[in-house]
Amino acid sequence: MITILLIEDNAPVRENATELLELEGYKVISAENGKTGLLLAKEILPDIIFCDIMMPEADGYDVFRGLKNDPFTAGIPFIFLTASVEKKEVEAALGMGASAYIKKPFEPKDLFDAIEACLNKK
Amino acid sequence: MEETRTISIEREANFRSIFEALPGLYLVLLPDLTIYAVSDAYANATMTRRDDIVGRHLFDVFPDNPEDASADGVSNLRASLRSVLKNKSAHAMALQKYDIRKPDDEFEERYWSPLNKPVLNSKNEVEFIIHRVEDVTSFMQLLKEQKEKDKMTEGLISRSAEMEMEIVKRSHEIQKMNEELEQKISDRTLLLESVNKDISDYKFALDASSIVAVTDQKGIILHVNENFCRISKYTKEELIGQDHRIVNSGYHPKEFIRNLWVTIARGKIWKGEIRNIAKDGTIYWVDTTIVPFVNEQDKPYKYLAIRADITQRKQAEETILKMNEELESKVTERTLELSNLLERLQAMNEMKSRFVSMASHEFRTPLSAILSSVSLIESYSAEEHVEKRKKHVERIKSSIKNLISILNDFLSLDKLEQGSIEIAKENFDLVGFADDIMEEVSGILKTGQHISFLHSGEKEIFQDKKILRNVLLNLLSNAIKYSEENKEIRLSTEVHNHTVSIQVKDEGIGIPEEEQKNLFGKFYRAKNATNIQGTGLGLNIVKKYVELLEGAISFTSTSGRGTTFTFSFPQK
Repeated sequence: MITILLIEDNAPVRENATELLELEGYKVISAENGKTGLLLAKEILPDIIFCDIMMPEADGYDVFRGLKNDPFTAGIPFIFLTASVEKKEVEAALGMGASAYIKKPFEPKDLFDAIEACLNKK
Repeated sequence: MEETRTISIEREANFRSIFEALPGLYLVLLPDLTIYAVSDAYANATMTRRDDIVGRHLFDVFPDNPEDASADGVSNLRASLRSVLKNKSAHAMALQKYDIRKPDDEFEERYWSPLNKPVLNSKNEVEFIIHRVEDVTSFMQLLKEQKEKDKMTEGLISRSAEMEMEIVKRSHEIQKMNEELEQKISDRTLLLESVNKDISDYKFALDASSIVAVTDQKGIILHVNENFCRISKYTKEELIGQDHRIVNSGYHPKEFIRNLWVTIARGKIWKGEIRNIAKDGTIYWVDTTIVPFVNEQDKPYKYLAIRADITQRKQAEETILKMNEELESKVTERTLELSNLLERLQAMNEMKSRFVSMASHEFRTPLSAILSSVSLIESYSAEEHVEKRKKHVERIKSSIKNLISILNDFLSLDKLEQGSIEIAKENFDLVGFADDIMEEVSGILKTGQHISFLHSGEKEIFQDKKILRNVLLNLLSNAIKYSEENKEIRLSTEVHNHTVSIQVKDEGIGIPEEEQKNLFGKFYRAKNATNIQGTGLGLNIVKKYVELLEGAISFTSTSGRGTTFTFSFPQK
């Protein structure tokens, strides 16, 4: 079973995304801020990570850097969820080596397609 | 016998003394030309000392003057002495130039008349030669001078003859020159007549075309022409004898006038433009040339001023200058306005970009919830999923409320900025009002957070309830949002001395000191709040509302420790 770590501070969005992914048959573990997210990622070593950018207590970039610096987590596909339409933020995310980014508001299909793409790469 | 010898020796000594004292110039030589004896007079005349020369060879003591190439003293004397030795008879030498070496080794020109006479012994051999000389240097010099005088006299005689001839020649020349001069004078007279004509023509032309005045060296007017009278509006009689300053307008700086006077007083021509004043007070401008007339000592004794009326040109120039100045000040003013506008535009632009970035985030997050809830409702189509559908409908509603509240903030701000909010004051109980608001925000309290409330003074106040509710809701929800779980929030109200004071105190993240001054700015979010949702409008609106109530708001904060907001407004 594919395990997905979802890091998102906004509760409705976090809960809805979890629900959508679980209905699709994935195992979802979620965190409500970057700090918890980073700890969980190192502990459970998920197959794919979805991570919001603007969060209190370590933002999306901090989480990403933390994971890339650890050889055990460096290879996990990492997908940014962003509420920003600003180009520089999107470019920064990809420039750091993220697998993909998904713009909010997202369709369920956006999440599933991103997962498929990551799994196919593996 | 002994006595006889003694007498003889004494006599000999006496003879030597007598010899040496002889008034003549005597030298006694041995046949080998060694000096044997010398008279005092000789030694004096030759500037020698007896002890230095006795026993020395004659020519060693008296050599030729090496400076004189034609010196023949030594050779002539030697020849004379040879003849004396050979013929054993006296020999008188011709007058001889024989320079004498002075003690400083320089030679002095001397002329001598020498006589050489042998003294024979019993064997008829030459035992001594007496060399007697007479110093004829003075005589020779006299002779020389006489010769020169004679020469001069001769010259004078021939010169006077020459001069006579010259005088005759000169008188001819003078006569000729006189004739020429006469011719020249007559030519000049003719020329002068024509020049006079020219000058009067020039004067006519000058008077016709220019404004002319002549003054003495002090500036007293001696002459003016018609044009001067016309422009200055004075009559000739009023001007002649007056100081030229009568037309001074006082317009030019002292330095300018000083420069004019210094220039012409040095005999130099001055040119410039002068503003003058006429008798009736009208101003006129003249392009001026002042020509000084100088005497033999190069001192000016008269000044001729030639002027042209340039009043119209100057007036046009002044108008242009004035227009330019006005234009410049207008341009400066406009530039300032533009730069202010630009600054405002830049500020607005910055605000706009902050707004766009904020709006994007604040709208997209609830929209994400709505969109995903809608998708989930679609998935839960079966009858048994009714609860789940309900949950998502509620979530959609709540997200929409969230969106509406953001929109309301924008609308409030817009109204506040337009000044279109009307205040509707009413009497109400402040404590009951505070309880209602605490109830309202209890839904968003984090785990363990709670609000304490304290009131002192009168309870009933007269105020716009809606505005006060907005302010208090905003401050309380901020306190909740920026505090962690289990933290206390203290609300206190006080009515005292016709003033209502309300305080909201939290133990939250605080506001960094460097950010505090900007906190009430539109769309402004402190650095430690950027990852916490918010529009950056709340405090801006709060401040505007408080000001609308004629109140004031302030805060104290320590980063990481908490913030206290206090606002107050007057009470009737």
